[in-house]
Amino acid sequence: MIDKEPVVLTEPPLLRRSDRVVLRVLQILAWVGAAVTLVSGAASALLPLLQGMAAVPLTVEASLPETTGVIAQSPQWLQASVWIDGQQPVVTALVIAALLVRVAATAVVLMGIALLAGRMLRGRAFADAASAPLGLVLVGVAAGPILGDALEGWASMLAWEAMGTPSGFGSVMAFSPTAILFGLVVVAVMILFRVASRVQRDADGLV
Amino acid sequence: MPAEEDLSRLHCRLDELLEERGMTLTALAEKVGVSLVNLSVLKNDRAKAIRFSTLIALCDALACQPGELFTVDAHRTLG
Repeated sequence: MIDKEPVVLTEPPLLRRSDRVVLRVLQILAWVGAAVTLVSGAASALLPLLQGMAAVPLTVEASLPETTGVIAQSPQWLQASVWIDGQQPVVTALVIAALLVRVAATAVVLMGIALLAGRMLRGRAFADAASAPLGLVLVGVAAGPILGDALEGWASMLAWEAMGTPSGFGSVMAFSPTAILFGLVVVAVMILFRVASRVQRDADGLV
Repeated sequence: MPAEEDLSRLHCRLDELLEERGMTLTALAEKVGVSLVNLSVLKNDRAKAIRFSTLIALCDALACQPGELFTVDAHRTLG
C-alpha cells in the first residue's frame, strides 16, 4: 500500500484541443491567403503585360509651401509611380518581375506557415522536418523583399537614365532593413525549433 | 552512452513481478498513478528512459528493489 500521493506521470498530449483548433484555422487562412495572393498578383501583372508598359517608381522633388519664419528647408523627395512615354521593354519587364517576386514571396511565406501548421497537426510539433517550411518562410520574408526592391530600383534607374536624368526626379533605391530583421527572427525561430526537437526526442519513450 | 539499438538489451521484469504478486497491469497503473499506456511501454521493453519517481512508485507498489525490476542481457557479439 502506498501511503504517498500517487505520482502522476502521464504526459499531457503535446497539442491541446484549443491548440489544434488554432493551428487548423491558421492553416486554412494561410492556404486561402496564398491562393488569393497568387491570383491577385497574377491579375496585377497581367494589365502591364497586355499594355506593354508599367508604372515605374521614381522619386520626385516636392516643393514645400513658403511661409514666413522659415529660414531654410531641406528638399523633400516623394516616391511616385510614373508612366513614361516610350518606355523600354526591359524596364517594364523589371517592374513586372519585381511585382511577381513580391507576390511569390508573400505566397511562399503563407504556404510555409500552412505547411508548418500541417506538420504540427500531424504529430511532433518540433520535428526536424519543420526546417523546410521555416526555410520557405525565411526566403519569403527576407530574400523576396530584398530582390523585389533591387529589381524595382534597377528599373527606376534605367527609366531615369532614359528620361535624360532630369533634375527634380531621381531613381528609387529602396532597401528594407525590416526584411533583414524579419529574416533574423525566422532564423532565431529555426534554432528554437531545432533545440525543441532535441528536447522532444529526449523526452520520447520516457515513462 | 549506449547506442539506441542497445537499449533492447534492457529487459523490464514487470510481467514476471506482476504474475508473482497476482496483480494486473491496470491495478498497478491505478496504484502508482502511471498511465496504462506508459506501463505497457515499460512492460514491453519499449521505454527509453524511466524517471526516478516512476521507479520509486513501482518499487513501492510491487514491494521490490530496482534491481529486481530490470535485467541487462549480456553483450551480443557479431559473427
